[in-house]
Amino acid sequence: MTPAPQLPDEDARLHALHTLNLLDTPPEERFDRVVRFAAEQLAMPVALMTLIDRERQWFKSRLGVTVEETARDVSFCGHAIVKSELFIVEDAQRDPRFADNPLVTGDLRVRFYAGAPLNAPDGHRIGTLCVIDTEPRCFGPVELSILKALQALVNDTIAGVEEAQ
Amino acid sequence: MTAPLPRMLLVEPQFVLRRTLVAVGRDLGIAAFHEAASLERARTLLLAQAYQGLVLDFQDPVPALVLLRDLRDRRFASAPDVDVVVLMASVQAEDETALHRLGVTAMLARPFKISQLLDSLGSIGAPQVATTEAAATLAA
Repeated sequence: MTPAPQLPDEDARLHALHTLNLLDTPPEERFDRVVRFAAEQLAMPVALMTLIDRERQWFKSRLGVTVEETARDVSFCGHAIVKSELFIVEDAQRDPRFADNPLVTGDLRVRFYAGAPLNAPDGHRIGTLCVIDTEPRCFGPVELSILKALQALVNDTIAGVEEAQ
Repeated sequence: MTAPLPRMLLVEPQFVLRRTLVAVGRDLGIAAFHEAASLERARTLLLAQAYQGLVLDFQDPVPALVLLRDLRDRRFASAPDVDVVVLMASVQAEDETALHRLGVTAMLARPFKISQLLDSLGSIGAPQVATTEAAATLAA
């Protein structure tokens, strides 16, 4: 397994995350509605809005999982925030970075993962909007476009510029 | 030079669906959606400018049918025969008949996948493409 890396600007990234005051706060409909929509439109059993803290990923919004957080080193989202593009793993069992990851071999049985990095208003990548399936999948142009659209929507919501409805 | 995308009016109260459709339509080069969260806002936009297609929420059937009749009766800036896709909570036979009489292109029952809506929009703007292809064939 390849552990999720720390980012070069980790201290500044964590400062940006903590300044948002989203960690360890109750669920909010403004995020939950996007996560529900992602699961419905992309036909996924699991959809999450994750925030990557120093040693953990915490779920601000979650659908299809009962746990509130996992360790950062095993997280797929910890890999997804390394770059600004979508991060896709079509079959984790066949990917040497994840094949022996406990999220793949354990109860969650992750096979497919698609994560869109989320930004703080200052541009630091603080987490993801992600969807997960227990079967291998492949996204086409429409699915990729939907995930990018929802990523932009959550980024606007984080920045407080989304429409108030 | 890239041809402009078909300009369509999207009347949809649900914020996440509406904003996603606008972004996906633009991203995939399918449509340039102008968005209205209500029928009242849609009426204002339809009076102000012409659209090549209309995606119409039908959760409130009576005013939606009135708007559609006004469209067909040339009371807006758009051509009276523009394609219309209707988004319905459920398809009732009575509404279906009325919508067929008003010449709607497609009816989608909620919940639907965005790909289904995009498929139903696929024919909008096609006549212009077909005409261009036919002209090119004749010229050759």
